[in-house]
Amino acid sequence: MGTPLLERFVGEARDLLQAAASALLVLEKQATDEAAINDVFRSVHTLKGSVGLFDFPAFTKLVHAGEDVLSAVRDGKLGLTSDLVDVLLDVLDQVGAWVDDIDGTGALAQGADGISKEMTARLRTALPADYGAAQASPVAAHAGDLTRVDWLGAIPEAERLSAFRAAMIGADLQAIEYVPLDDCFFSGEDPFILFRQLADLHSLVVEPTEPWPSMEALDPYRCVLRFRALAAAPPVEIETLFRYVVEQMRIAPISPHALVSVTGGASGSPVYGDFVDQARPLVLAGDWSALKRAVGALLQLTAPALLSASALRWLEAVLTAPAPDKGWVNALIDCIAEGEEDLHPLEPRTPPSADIPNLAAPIPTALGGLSPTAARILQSQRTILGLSLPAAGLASRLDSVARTVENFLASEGLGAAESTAWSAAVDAAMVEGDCAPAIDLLDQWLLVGGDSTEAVIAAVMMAGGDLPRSRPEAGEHLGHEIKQASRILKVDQAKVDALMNLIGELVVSKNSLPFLAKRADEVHGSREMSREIKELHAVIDRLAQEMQSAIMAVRMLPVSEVFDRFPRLVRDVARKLDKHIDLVIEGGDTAADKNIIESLGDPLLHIVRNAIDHGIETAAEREAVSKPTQATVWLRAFQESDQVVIEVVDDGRGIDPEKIKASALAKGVIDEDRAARLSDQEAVNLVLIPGFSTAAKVSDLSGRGVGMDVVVTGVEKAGGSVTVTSKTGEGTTVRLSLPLSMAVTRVMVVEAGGGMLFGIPMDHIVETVRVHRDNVRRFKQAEAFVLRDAVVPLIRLDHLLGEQSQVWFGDGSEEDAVLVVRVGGNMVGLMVDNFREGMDIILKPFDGILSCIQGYSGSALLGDGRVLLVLNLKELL
Amino acid sequence: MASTIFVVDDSVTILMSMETILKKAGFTVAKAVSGEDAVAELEGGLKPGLIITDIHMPRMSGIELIRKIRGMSGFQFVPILVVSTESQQAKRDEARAAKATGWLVKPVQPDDLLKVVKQILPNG
Amino acid sequence: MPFTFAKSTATADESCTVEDALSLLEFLLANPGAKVDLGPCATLHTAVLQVLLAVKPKIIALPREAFLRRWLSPALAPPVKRGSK
Repeated sequence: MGTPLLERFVGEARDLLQAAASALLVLEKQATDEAAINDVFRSVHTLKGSVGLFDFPAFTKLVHAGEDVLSAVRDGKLGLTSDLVDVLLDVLDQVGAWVDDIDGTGALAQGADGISKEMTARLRTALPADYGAAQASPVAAHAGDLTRVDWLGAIPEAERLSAFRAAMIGADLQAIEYVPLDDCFFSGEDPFILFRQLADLHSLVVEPTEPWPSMEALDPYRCVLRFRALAAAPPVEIETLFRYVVEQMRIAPISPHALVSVTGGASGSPVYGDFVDQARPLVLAGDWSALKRAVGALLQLTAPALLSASALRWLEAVLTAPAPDKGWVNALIDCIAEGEEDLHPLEPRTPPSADIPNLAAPIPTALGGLSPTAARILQSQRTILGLSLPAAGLASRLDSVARTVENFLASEGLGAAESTAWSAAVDAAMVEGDCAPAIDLLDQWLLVGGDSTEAVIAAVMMAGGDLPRSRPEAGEHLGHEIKQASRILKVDQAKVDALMNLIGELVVSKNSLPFLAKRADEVHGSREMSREIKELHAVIDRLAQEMQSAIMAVRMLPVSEVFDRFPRLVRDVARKLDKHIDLVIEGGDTAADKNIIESLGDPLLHIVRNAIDHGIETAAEREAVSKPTQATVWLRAFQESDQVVIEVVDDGRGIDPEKIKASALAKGVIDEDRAARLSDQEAVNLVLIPGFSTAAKVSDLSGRGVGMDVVVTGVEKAGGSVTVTSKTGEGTTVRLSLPLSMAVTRVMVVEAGGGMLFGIPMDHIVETVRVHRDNVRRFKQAEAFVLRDAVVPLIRLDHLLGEQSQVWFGDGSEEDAVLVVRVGGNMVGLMVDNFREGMDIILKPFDGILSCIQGYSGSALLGDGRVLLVLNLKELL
Repeated sequence: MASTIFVVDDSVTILMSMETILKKAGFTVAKAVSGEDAVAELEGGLKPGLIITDIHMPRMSGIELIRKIRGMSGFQFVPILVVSTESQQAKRDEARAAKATGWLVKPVQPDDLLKVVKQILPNG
Repeated sequence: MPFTFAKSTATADESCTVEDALSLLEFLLANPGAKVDLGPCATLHTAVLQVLLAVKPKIIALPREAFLRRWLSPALAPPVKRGSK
């Protein structure tokens, strides 16, 4: 198992899968149940989000496809048929299996990619053909106004110069105009802070968009500012930075020459004429370093405010380029020669428009603007895909091309639309086992060039539609259901168990205090000390008990933990047998100890399968006896004193006592004599006897040669009991009764076998009596005594345990200690040497080599260090 | 002063991963597993420098949570980011209309998260 | 309190938050001609900047922090007022 994060994910994924499956079943019954639609969608959606944190692409893709289908269902574009539910349940099962893999090995099982592709394709075929298209369209344009950048001239020359110099050494200049919404502060925005993140900011002007009001009228929280900036950052970086406010900002690439303006006072000094004469030949010769020196020297002599100084500064800046533009150099030298202001000395004849496109418009990343090299890369990938190769090689070839193109898109700084389109095309190609979708997309890019957006959308539609799409948020307003969410702490069970063990030890240590008190009195002769110890014991005893019940409450789980799997099971089994069954679950929030809940799973599974398989008639049979064709199975849980009761009730054909008797006779379970004497209820009880099965034929559902006795064994192991009642033609009720908790067992300690101590679970004990020896009746080997008009068989515990009976002392007037217990509905008197106290113990079942010893439930440690063996009366008697 | 970042998500996996990333970057992190919990925390005096909430949550959705927070005194200016797997315009628009500051796209990549967070809390 | 208001001077703290815009404005309204010392300021919320731009109090010290100093000086230090029209 991997990181704590992965562990957390596994737990969460299981919960989500369970929730999704339950909601799906509700949905199948009631297709318009909006809450259920949202539940299942949200579960799968959340799962997709969580798995995305890890590198399980097969998992992610499948869940994503599932989400798309559910989204279509939610949007009413897709009806939820039983077949579709089957597919979705299969998907959930597969994902569940992967979660198990992840839990076990930290990775998906081999072949996950193939399974994922196959199932993804199955899901995608369910989507309406036009679904992707209909969803893809809202990507649509929000064409913004185009604004001229008319404010460059207003930027101080020094700032323009620094930007210009940056451009000369290759920087990408952008003009940014950002006018935040006037209520932007109330969205948590801080517009100014954004500019701090801009890598290479050359100019930033903050101005009001309207004249400032008087101080008194100023609303400090209404933003009326406009930001204009010049930055040497790639547009992608700026877009990323401003992505939340793209509607409020514009950006335009700035040609360096647009920054240049030559202004200042005229100067008639002849020195400039000399400079011009000296400079022209240097330009012709391309001797830039000599020109640089001349410019530098003259700048030193020129007053900064003069026009020629301005021209010289620009000239110097132009010359910082590795290969200065001769046209620009000449133009600036002309300025010096003419001595006139020129706001656009470097403007080409047809000035490129410095219009600012709105960023909210579709991202105009034209693939057409690629360099020859880049185009060649795409072309070569296209060629590779076009080569014919055996089908087996397709996946790996597609894979490598896919990666190359992804890297290419990333390195070219292309938008998300292209890479989404590309991965969609690759997925489609994988699914179809044909490179065509990918080839087509590459072709479009290579040929269409220019405005790629339409082409990309077209390609995506063709590829099956995998663009991110809008999902209207239905049912987010479950107003009536708003309740304070409980704060739930997820704790590893081992930690709770550790706590439980500690408390167990505390209870044991506490139990030693009475012994100590006794010693204080008897050995040390201090009655007072003894009393104090007893008082202390009472306090610790109370605290320990409270602690115990608190920790037991932590271990309590709702029965729904087990019940939740039944809707799915009933549905599947019913479909298989072509029976119509409505499952009604009641009391799912009844809680019991985790161990009890877990021990319920298998027995219940068996009972419910039995009910559906044997109990419920086919629709035709039901119709013949004028019952509704739709049968009902109830799964009920409730608490009855300190027991949790689970009932499985069906309205099927019931158990026919005569059939049972006949079957039992045939199998030799009972003889004819006994059969004749059996009451109907007793006959029904026969189904609980090991090896008994009434199935006419062995179906693959429940008749695997194991009958209800498996249920009985399982439930009794957890300290519970099973009863079956039935009315022919009306239905059957199976009732499981289990203790709420099996962490602490209350036992009565008895002495037997000459001073040995044994624990007997309190829930078996009816009463303790002392029986006069004269009142013990003997029938052959058996003994019995009369307890309030009932004859109760008497068994000596010593005999049961294979111990020698104590020799009788005294005469018939002696009394014997008899524990009256109820085992399996029968009363039995257990003769013991002596009764001792009742106590709470933490029962530790035998393990290892001891676990095969019959007759004992386990052992417990006593306060004085002795081991108490706890008897399992059912096995003993 | 280290700013507290308050992360709200119904997925404990997501919460844990965000917490790890943010803590590693030196931020203090507070968490809530539902909108109702989040409101309770804020009413209880939590004063985060940034709130990051999932959009899809049972009962109170992320968008409802934002509306609620914006209506609480002392929180009208706090930056709020929404997290959703939908990289779609409609969802963002709805969140922005509810006065969210921005959004993150699930699965949130650590680099992205830190980039955006540092943009909003440059000296957190 | 990120601004310390004393007599006729408001001194900024390291971080001036959006909430401070209102208190700064109220202080400037109550003390016409009051001065502002931005020296310690390292982050300045736009709302505070807007108050400074609108009210134009006398700034006795620009932030020592480089970014703010660089980009606030043209806007807040009137002697070389340029770059706007």
